[in-house]
Amino acid sequence: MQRMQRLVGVFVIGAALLGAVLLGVAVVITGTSQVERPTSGFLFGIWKVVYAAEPPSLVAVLGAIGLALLLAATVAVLEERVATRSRRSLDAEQRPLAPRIVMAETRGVFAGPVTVTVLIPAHNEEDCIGATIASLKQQSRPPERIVVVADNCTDRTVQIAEDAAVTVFPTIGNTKKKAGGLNQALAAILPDLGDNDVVMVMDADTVLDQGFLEAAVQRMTDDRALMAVGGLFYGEQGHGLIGQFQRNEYARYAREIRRRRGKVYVLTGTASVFRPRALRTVADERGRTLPGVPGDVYDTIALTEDNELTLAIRSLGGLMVSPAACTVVTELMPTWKTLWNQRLRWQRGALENLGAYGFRPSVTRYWAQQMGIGYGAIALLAYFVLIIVQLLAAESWVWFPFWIVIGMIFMIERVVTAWGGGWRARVLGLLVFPELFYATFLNLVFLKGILDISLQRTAQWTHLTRETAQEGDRR
Amino acid sequence: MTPDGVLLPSSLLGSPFFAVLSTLVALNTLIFVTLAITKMLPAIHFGEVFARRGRRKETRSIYPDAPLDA
Repeated sequence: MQRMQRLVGVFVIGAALLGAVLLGVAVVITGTSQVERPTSGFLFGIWKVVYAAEPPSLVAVLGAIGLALLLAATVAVLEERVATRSRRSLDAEQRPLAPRIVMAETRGVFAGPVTVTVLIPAHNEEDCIGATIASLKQQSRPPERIVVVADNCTDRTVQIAEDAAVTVFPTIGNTKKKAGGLNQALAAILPDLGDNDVVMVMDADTVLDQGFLEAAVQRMTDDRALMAVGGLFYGEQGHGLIGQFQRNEYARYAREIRRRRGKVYVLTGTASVFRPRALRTVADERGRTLPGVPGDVYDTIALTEDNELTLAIRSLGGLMVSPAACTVVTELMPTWKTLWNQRLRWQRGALENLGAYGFRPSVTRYWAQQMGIGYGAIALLAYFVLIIVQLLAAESWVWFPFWIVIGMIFMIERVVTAWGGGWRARVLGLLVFPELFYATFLNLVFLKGILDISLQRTAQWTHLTRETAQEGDRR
Repeated sequence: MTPDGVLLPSSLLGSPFFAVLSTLVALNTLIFVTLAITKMLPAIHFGEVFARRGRRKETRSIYPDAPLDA
């Protein structure tokens, strides 16, 4: 497994580099047009400008557009194929959660109306646990049962939970943090649950938006083959510019999921609802078709257990959705240091999960995503190098009308895709460059993640994990 | 040699290195702008465009006697 983990990093960055090199070779072979000598003229009769008006060759433009569409279509088609095969699968060995199999097993059986049990893993959460419980009870469709999974709490968390009249489940000898605590609670709770007694796992510092549970219960009622409902998260207010960067990112993510008609990338750890069948089947398949310890719902080795559980359910053919009505507010990282640690953990976790799952069809999109990020990092770096060389070597500033138009398209895209985040999000998007620098920051995290996994830097990582665990791990 | 640019010689801008780099960046930019445009435009769901009404043969509700949803 360790060797495979190492290879993930090499493979992802190798594939991205290969793409860039191939494109470079193609450029050299086909011959590059020499940079046109700029001319100067007067704008509005008074402003002297130096410009190069020639656009790239038509072949280059059409080739690049074709390549982009081809790549996007390939990923979409592959993902659709995987989804369709799961939907139609009758292979109970490989895809026991596939809709047709679940439907056949539950046909004509009424297992009672949908009930909701909420599990809240809590480790010293006295500041927020009261508000979380209150927000659950105030939902238009409140849960039947709330269970606080108290993991090595030394503060007033248990007291507050008991005062709020909810069940407290203390973990026993748990050393595997959140995932370990949840495994203990699920092992105790799952055997008594019927097919429609769904389980919601939510973080102690998360507040659900009104209507979340009502929408989730409706979905689970309407579709007995649906295995999980994920929350759509958006960023809390505050934290200045760094907060706005994250809010823009989450607003775009939510928009993307809505465009995909709720098809999830990741079932967020902040709030997701599961049908017991999904959790039981995952536990049964661990050590067989899924990585992890047999009998565990959550893989305690995975750094990002929410991402891992998504891959697990997907691999077993389960249907999942993130409806637009199921929104939660998520905590933001207040400093660059904490953001770096959080994202490095996500990045490393995603790569490790890919290593654990290998090249099975159900994770095709996740491989493509990683390679896409890798290529994006190389492309952005090349762009910055070009701009810097040009700035330092040019005799005067040269305007390129063609590229100004392209830049304006990017501006529009930044604004349109962040539109749902409000006017602050739109203004930040309109400026383009701040978000480019934010993207560069995330690219650096990506490269560090690749480097760490390739060099197997575990010792350093253990330290970092403890640090980020305290800072909060949102997704 | 005194550079004509701020720090680097302006001859660099006419070098094969710069030509390859600028073409590469140009192609990348066009690739990314294409993807950006596809993200801006409304998403097309071919499955829904070609979907036939009433494709479901049985209810998926947890209530076995619930009506079929189209």
